[in-house]
Amino acid sequence: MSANHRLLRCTRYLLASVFKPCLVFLGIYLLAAYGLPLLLRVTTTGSITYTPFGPNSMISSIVFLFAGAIFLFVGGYAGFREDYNFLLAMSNTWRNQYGAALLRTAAVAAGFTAVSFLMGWFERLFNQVVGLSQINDPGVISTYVYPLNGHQPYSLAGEILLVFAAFLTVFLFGQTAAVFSYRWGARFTVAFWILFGTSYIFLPIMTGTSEGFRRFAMWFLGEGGRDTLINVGWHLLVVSALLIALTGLGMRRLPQNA
Amino acid sequence: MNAILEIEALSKSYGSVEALKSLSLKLEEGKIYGLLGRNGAGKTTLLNLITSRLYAGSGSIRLFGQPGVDNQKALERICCMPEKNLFPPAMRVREILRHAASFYPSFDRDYAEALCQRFSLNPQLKYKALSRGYESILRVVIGLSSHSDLTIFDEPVLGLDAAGRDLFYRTLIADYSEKPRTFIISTHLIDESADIFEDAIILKEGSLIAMDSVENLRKRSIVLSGRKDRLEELVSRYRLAVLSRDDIGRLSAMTVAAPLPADCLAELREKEIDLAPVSLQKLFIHLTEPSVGSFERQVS
Repeated sequence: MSANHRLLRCTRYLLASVFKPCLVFLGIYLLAAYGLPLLLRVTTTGSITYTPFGPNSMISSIVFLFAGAIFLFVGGYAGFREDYNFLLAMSNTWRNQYGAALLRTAAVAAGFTAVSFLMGWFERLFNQVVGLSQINDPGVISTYVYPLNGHQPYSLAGEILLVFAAFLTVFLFGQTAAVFSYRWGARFTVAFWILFGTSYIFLPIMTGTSEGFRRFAMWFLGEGGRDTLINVGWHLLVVSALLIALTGLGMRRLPQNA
Repeated sequence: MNAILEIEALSKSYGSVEALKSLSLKLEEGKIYGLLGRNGAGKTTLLNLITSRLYAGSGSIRLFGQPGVDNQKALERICCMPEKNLFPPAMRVREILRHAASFYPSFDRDYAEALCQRFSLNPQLKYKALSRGYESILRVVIGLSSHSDLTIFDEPVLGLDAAGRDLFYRTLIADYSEKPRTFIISTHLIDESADIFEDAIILKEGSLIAMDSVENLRKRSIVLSGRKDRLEELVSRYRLAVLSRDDIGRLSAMTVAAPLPADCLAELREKEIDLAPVSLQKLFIHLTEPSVGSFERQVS
């Protein structure tokens, strides 16, 4: 079995290990967002529209982006130990595991990006449709398809980049934290969760107290740029690249810790 | 015979604790090795270093004639089933076997299924539902079915009842006879597994104190039993190296270094002193006592 073969087998195993949790998450998401309202015949017209129409708005689902990001972060953190230990038991080196983890992360981020766009379409559908009978009305359907066609290609590319980079970053962030938790044990884990848990307090404080940090935060969030979506997207890609490097450092000769 | 594992001056420390101290050894292909040592002797550390699950502070490991650390080509010829749990608790036995089949090139799925039946292991069960004994059985099934060139078992019979242990030994021997390959078996149950070992590797406090065929190790000492006064006199006169002794009233049993001088043997018969081969466990217990040095040092 060649090393590449081995890498693909590790990747296949890692994809299989997240497949079921992803399906469960998607099921719960669909049930909470659409299944229950549909069952109860609840009209969502007039309620908050997550992705408003128009060529300059996002056509993917912002709600799914946030929900998926939380799921991927937690899943990336929680699943690492089991996967790493099992692949060690199957006589795989850390290098193969690292490569496979990156391939898996990219594949899952791409999948979640696709689902996010699908969910955006669902939102339009369910925000306007009162009953199932209207879904079959060709006139109604065309109004949902229009925003996709009417979207500027440049803007669409920026949105795809942003959503993909966001999923990639959070999934990698969870895994990076897990790698260092695995390597350094409780001391890192406690410190990480305290810092992460309180970041929503000190990050706003830092933006208020430090002009440099505020400027960086505004720049990172694409403020003042020509295209916010693309700017934030590539900023997140840079963060992803840093996390990939950090994960590599953490996984380099990572000893078994079972 | 070719060496499949060569270790040179291997050392590993955990903080201030030295788990392995400049250990060197060479294993040949097609043998069953018993890796013996008391708790904390460094057995599991050694096995983890061989399989790149831990990294040594110094020294070198060569597997199948190639550098062994993080060498995927060499690693995939090794199946190491550890004592610790490395399997996902929610995974079913069937899935674990399926994944194992995809990672070990020579894995025999039909044989794995046959072993599951033989050991009454239900493949539908989740790993977390298995008892300690069945966890061990699953490792045994994977290890034997992998047909790897080097198969390592760390405490393979932990939690198994006597019948299960006996079945394991018989299955191992039958499988080894059919497809000879190298096994390293780390165990604390020395007496019952001694018969399946060809060679024994004995570790003490991170150092190798003896490595030889079980037959040769047994030949190196002998148990003399009879009247205490007669034995003491004989031992003193022939300057025999006493490895251990047990006294019961006027009787004594002494384990002494062999071979014995011919005139001593003749005198033993005259004085009605019995001779018996020493058990590997007895020898092991003596050798690994904190105050005792290496076998070679004691008998020289």
